[in-house]
Amino acid sequence: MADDPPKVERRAGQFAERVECGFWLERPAPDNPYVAAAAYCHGYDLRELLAKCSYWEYLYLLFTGRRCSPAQHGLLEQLGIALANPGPRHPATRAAISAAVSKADPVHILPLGLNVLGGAHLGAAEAGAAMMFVRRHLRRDPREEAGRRVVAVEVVDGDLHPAPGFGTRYRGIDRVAVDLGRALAQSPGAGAALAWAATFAAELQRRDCGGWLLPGVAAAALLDLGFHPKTGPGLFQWLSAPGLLAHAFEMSNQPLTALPFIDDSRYFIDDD
Amino acid sequence: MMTETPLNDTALWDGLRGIIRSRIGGWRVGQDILIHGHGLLSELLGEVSYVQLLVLNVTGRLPERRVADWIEGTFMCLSWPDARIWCNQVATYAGTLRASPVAAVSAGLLASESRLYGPGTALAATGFIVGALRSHRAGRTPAEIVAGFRRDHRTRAIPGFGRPVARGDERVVAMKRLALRLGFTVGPHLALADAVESVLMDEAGESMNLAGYLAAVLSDLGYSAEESHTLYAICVQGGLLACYREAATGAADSFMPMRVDDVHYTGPAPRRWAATD
Repeated sequence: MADDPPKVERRAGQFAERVECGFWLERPAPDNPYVAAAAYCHGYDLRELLAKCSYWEYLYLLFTGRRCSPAQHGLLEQLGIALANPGPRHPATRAAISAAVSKADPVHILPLGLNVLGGAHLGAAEAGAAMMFVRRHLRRDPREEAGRRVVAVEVVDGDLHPAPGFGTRYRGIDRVAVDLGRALAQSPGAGAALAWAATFAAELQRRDCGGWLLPGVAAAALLDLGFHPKTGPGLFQWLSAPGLLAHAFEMSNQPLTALPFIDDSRYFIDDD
Repeated sequence: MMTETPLNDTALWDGLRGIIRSRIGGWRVGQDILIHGHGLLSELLGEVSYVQLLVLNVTGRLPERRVADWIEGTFMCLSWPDARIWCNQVATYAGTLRASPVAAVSAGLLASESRLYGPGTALAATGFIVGALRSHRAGRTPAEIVAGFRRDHRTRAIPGFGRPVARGDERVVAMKRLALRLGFTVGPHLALADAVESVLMDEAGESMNLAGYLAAVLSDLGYSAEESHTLYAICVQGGLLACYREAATGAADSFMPMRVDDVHYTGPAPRRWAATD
């Protein structure tokens, strides 16, 4: 044990000497090797992209290296709108609002909101898990899969979660998520994942076991757009960011008293 | 099951609206702050260490001082100023770009929740050693446990053993020395971890890492994997703040500056964005 310590030595030659990048090329300025004179995304000159492609086309290119079709462009834009605002009651938004009203440094508002939105419940981690779930089950019949899960599901913290990205919200149907899921599934850019997930969600709903939740909507759309499940959580956070910020800044000029500070008579300590 | 709570039965949430119900504690304005039944100002302040209080906050149990001192020792071993360490590097970038120390430490803490090092390894390392002891008590040898884990998880890596940069872990040796001085005895999880280490040392010269040692001792002390994960959430803050401070007090954007050609580009050659592509 302590008398016979293991020998400690650095492992040799396993780390790269240089950073590699497969999609972003910079050309150095002729008079300063630290300054870039031009930048290219997957080979396309940034100046040309600025003039010729939309933000959503550029985003798709950035992540996939491919140019999106008009149908993919439409689906990505629709997904962006669908996710852009989790709403003022979402705990991630409330975290951002709480920090804004309590006069946190404005540069911290978005990162802290996105941290909270990273969670495994209705957050980015659930979106990633939902991508894995849908991808893994695409070859199974979605109605049969829903049936299997309805039989096995248990109430946890008041809700039913038959699969990541699907279930009940406050023991009810998340009607906004259902509408968004159905709309995206009808989009010309929708593919196998949205079709599978729409059928799966409809079957859950038919059996009173919930339906679409927003992370599930995001997951299916991101899969159809060709994104890998590992990029899903980050994209979910990023696409949800505008609403967090908008709600926080709506409140940022309000006084500290603009939010409830629960009265002592309604703060219960069980140890009492 | 589903029939017990019909659709749209919102009783659970109705009962929680507009109130806070805490099992932990809270501020009794003008009186004291209660933490798991202990008065912070009347009972704990000046009597317990910061780490004892941290453990109380996280677990609800007030540990004896030597346990807190041992945990404090592990915090010291887990975080030190070296900007090559990945989370420290994040804090360094924050310093060189003049982010605030709070932003730097927050970003660094996020980086430290990794599958390879830092508090992110607590769940896997604890899961391994707790499961291993269960198997050992059912009659399996350490070698069989290692082989079984690799087979079940389709990996050669054993959580809590081996390190990314070095072979061996001098911190484990130092912590064992401290534990001895604090009067700790070797519990069943640590004894098994030592035995697993022997298997891995014989096989490939790999030893227990600090996460593995922590997981074993904390399990022997009765802390769950989730409690350990939470306890160590901020364990790298010392190194983060040191590295941040060094960068924040140096020239802006001067940490390992990169020339344009320091990035080796491997993507497609420059091309035109044709309308018909």
